[in-house]
Amino acid sequence: MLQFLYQDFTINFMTILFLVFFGAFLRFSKIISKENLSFLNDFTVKVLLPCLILSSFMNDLDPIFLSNGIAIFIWALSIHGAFIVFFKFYYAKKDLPSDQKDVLSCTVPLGNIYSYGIAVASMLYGDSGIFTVNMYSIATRIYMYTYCLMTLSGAKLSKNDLLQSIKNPAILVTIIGAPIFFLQDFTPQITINDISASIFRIDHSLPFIFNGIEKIGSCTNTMVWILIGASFTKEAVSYMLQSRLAMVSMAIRAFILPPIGIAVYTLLHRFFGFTIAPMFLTTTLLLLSTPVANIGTIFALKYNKAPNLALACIPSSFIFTLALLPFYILVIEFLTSIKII
Amino acid sequence: MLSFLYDPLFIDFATIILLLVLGFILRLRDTISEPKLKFFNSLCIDILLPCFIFSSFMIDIDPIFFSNGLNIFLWSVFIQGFFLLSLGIYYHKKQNLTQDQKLFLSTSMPMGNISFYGIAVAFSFYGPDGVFAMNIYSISSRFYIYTVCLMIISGQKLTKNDMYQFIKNPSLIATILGCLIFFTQDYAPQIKINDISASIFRIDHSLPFLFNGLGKLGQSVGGLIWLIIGASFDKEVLAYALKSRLALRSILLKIFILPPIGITLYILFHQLGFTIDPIFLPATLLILSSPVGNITTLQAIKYNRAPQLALACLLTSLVFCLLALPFYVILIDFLISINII
Repeated sequence: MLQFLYQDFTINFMTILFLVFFGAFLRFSKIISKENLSFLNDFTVKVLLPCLILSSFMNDLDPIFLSNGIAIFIWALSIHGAFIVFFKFYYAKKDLPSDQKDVLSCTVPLGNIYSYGIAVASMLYGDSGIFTVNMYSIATRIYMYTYCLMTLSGAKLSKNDLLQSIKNPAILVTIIGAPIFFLQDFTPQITINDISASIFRIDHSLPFIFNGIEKIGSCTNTMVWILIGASFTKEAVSYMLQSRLAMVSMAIRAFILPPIGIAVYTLLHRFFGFTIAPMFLTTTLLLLSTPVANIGTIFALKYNKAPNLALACIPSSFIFTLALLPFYILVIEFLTSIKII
Repeated sequence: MLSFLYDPLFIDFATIILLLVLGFILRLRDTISEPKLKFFNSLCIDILLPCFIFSSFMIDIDPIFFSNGLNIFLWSVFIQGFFLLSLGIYYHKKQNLTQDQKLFLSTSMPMGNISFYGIAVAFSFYGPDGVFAMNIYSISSRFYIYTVCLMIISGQKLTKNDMYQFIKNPSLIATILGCLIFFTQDYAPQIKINDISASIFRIDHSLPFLFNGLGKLGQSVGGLIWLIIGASFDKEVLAYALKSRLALRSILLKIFILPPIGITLYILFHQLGFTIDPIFLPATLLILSSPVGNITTLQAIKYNRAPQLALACLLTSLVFCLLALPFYVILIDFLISINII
């Protein structure tokens, strides 16, 4: 009767829920205060996450990664580009204050790929999942730091902002890690214990550094779930309940965008032969359904564009996304199993 | 020539150093500032560590655990009691110390840093068996710290409140609960899942999602603890530690004199027929050379017994302990290999 409790899928999903609730509990029992929450957040994004990303690049290169990496990148670039254009027009016609239009046309089409996406992917799909998120996020970051930043800052895009975006540790390690991964066959090789590999593959050439980085990186997904749980404060919930607009927009984001994305992929796959290998596909499509991006919210707060609306979007998007996560996983896996995608 | 780089002992050891240095850098750059460090510390010690301890008991029991568990416990009660007594007398007779310094040194030098340091080292070097030994060892260690040491350092009789503090220590609760589940698992009600039957309290079996969640929380301890220790080195303490000859002398005594005495005592006992199995023995003996404990340091700060000396000792002991660590690991392995212990 309770058989479902012991299936891998349920176990994974309930582990996530447990950690989220545990985070909420820590927040409510004041063990994680407001200042400490922002510290933990910072620490996770600036220290733990970069370590996870860097260590995920220390893998053997299979030709399958190269072609699929490009396909994932192109897919992310085009689908999010399409969403951005669509919502730009959609909200332009709506009768809303222009600040709110700007915020919504940025937060709805783009999601929290990095911390949420990596937490899901590393937990469910391991290194190939993290690889997918890395490729995908290059595309979404391009939009984030150009389109979103320009819209939200009112086109007062300063050099400083762009510099900031490059100085972000998660981006830096992607810039360092990706060449190491893709060029490993062409870089100088070193033979250790009769195995030869690129000298830049630190798991091979400097195992103690790799061990250290991996140890820290492996805490990332646990921390992300705790942080998500801890972000459900009374204030956040009351913001959410006050703003119908936030809830409706986030419902569109969570319920409508992913099916559209999946449908578009199915079309491209059936009629134009566009293919992403199954080991990357589930993660790629799951990334259509993520909570709102941290960076978008931060920009909105920084440039004072409808900050309350931006804050109200966070809890509702988390609730919708988490609730729908198992559903989308099942749908995507079902579609893959019957060879439709 | 560089083959030492790939020696497992070196990798484990260098990983620890790397994480310490990283923690120190984070501290210097103010990513982990003083108040954040405190929070981070308590998050690790009060939340993550108990999760780790509890989930480490979820393993099948072997008769070998019974007799060895008891022997480790007896040994820990004896050796720590012995050091407490002899160092108490030693420092009491010293002329050139203030009363506060005497009280601090006679409580801190005999006790080890089990929860913070012992478990992390045991796990790095000896895996689950090492952690089991440390968990058992920690029971008597905590008992001494919260009764004898607290009484000496506070200069008061134990109040009910102190005992209450001792009992509601999360790590202790996790240890006792875990021990009970572990040792009684054959007599507890059994539940059959996927054709395997095990105790209903073995949550890895009966509630795998809960076990996964706790396990994930616990796993983060291994990496984070070293970061935190590294981050607790701060400039002022560093300066004081370099100047204080008293701290240096006490720590040299603790790291270079006490462990050989302990090992000699064990050899004597062993010749008389007292035995701890070689799979648990290295961790049990290695803990003799652990740095000064956090709790005893905190107690010294709280009751204002030479607090600067306490912090300096913590730091100095850590440096020397790490220097001595590879030496003791190799020494103990050697003694075991020639069947002396």
